[in-house]
Amino acid sequence: MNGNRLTMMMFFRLIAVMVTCFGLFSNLAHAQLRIDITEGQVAPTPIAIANFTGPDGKVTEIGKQIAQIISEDLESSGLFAPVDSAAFIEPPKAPSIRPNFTNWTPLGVKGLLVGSAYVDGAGMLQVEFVLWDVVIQRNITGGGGNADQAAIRRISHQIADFVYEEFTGDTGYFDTRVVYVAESGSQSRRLKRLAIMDQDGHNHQYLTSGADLVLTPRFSPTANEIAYLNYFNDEPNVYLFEIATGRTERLGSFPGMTFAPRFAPSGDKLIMSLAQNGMTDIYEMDMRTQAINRLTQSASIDTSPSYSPDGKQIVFNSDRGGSQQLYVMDADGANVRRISFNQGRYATPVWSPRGDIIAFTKMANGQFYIGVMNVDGSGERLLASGFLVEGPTWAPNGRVLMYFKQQPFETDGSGGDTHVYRIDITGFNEKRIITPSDASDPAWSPILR
Amino acid sequence: MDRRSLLISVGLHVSVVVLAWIGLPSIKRDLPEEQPIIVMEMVQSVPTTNLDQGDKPSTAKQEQKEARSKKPTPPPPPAPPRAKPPTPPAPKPAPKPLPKAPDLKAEILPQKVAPKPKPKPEIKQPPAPPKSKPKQVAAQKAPVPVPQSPPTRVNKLARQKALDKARQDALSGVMQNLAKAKAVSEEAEKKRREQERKDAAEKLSSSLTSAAGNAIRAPDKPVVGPLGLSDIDRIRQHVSSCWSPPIGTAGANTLIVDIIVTLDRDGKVLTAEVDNKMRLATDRTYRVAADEAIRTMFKCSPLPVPLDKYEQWKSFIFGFDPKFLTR
Repeated sequence: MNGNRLTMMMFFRLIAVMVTCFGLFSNLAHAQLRIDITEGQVAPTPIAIANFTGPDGKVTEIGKQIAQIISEDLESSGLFAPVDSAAFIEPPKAPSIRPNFTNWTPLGVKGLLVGSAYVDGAGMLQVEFVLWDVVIQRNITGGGGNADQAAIRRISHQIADFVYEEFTGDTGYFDTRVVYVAESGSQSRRLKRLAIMDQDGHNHQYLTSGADLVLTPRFSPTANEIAYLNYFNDEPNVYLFEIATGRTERLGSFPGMTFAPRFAPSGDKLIMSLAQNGMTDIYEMDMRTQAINRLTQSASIDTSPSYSPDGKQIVFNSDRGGSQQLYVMDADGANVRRISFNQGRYATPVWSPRGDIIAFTKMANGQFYIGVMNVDGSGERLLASGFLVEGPTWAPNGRVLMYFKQQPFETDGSGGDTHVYRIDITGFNEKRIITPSDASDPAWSPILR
Repeated sequence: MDRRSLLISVGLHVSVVVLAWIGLPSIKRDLPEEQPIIVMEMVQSVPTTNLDQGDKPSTAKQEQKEARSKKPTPPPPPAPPRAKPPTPPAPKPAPKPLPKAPDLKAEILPQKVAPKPKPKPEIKQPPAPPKSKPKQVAAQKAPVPVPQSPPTRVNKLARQKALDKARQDALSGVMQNLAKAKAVSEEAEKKRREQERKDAAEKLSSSLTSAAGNAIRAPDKPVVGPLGLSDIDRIRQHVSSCWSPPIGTAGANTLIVDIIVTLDRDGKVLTAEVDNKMRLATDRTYRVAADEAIRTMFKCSPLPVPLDKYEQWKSFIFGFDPKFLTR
């Protein structure tokens, strides 16, 4: 018994000595000179995108297209600066061959994308790529696969997403789509249709004929359906559009008007506004049963609800305080609190997919603004402004916003052009998305893959 | 039996209470009010060793020089007269009765007299100190009446003889006194020199000891100061110019990456490794930030480090902190 106790004591002493030694040596190991770097250069990452080659090591036409799409994607983000391929000293032959980095270092690039792309005997597009770190001189990532030739843009967007993720740490957003309201005709006889396109404006497609006025389209979490406001027979109500089939369905039948729909992150619920007996409140609808549940009860107008990414909270705007302001409540309607207190009116709040900030439209001093604020209302930043800017929507990675901007009308009735823009949340790199006609009310899809 | 144990128990309790009452000062009186603590930071503005700067050795040398320079200035000749008061009066009376130049010369140049053949035997006479002393006293006394004689106006010849004799006596006495004074002053000079030598040696040894103490604490030769703020600022600016912080990335303010960097003697980056390997393996965003930090180090290579201080910068930790993006 005593022997065991003695052994235990010896054991604990040994542990104590080891812990002490470990502490001492860890201190010694950290007794190095430390320099904190708290400033840096904010500049796009220089990168080389080589034309994709065929099995013989020669550049293919389809390989050129892929490299071009990837370069445009990365450059449009504002975070990359692709180097002109004319400056390449020794264009790579194949992704499997380790590049001679001494030929790439002088270009000042951090990354080098090498790939192969060709159509095989079965008519399928075969793609392979490797991303190299030119500075550390190692392979970062790589991949490959086959697809239909018509999917060349999607394949290219997906490769661009890989590159984006490896250099930014954020999820790429190039392989996404945008649904919006395409506008045409004079202001008195305005035609508004649902349309869908890739995030870069390509692959444009109209979804509705324009017989009915449509507004505020919103993607479902699976990106297979779109909820929107449709003025069928001059009666505004929320409808559901199934992208694959083109089928439309009215969501519920209520005595009042429903509008401003938005899906819950889980996809099993939808929140919207319902105007009834002179009061407009927020309701949630079960997508299976189409049963509704009232979340707000006030004599004011409560609208534009948006879920937090975890589905536990809802942000909306209301004039219950006398002017249009932003409020946050729990998902069951409890614990309502105002979060916007600055000068002006606030509308169309959208919770960021990251969950840390809320985008909004602001009206103050005769101007419209697109801005963001923290979920508690602090840290308001205005990113864009104009005669009319409205309707922000988040890219799925939460670092890019899209919205629409309308130009002022001239005295002769001309003007009023409306276009979709996107901007980085840092307030830089505002770019217009080219559409066949005027465009408003954009809604960004989740990541498609 | 129970009562006895009860009494013992009560007694012990009482004694404990009494001891506590006497021994615990806080019960009896209020403790002094606690003063607020002023936190002070000790800043070492001047680096380390003094050996190279040579403060202490220089002071020792200076003291030695001072000691040497003092040697001529302190009146070594006056010192012996103080030791033996009768000797100085001897020269003084001599000039008065004997206005001749030789007397003055003898008085002014006691040491220069030595080379002369005549004074030498006279100087050698003093070796018998006991005898010379009374003589000196007699000679000293002899001159005293001499000055008094002129006013008496006796026979001129006799007076001349007397004067000659007295002059000879006085001269011999002066010479003896001078010889004695010289001998005494030489002895005193020797002693003084020895003393000075000892003092200088002591001071030198003490200063060398302290310098040696500093030398033990100092870095190896050649002695080089630590990296200064300007060195560190230069390195920081250089690395900052190569770093692209993760702007706009989710949670950028938490992406603080520590990179352990080793350099060769030219400041070229040999290795750059992430310190937090656990997070590196589990957090993709952190891994991307770490990759960028490593790229920054190799892109910035070589670093603008002071080449003579290699031992101090051969290994660095660079902390890449993007918090400024959220300010």
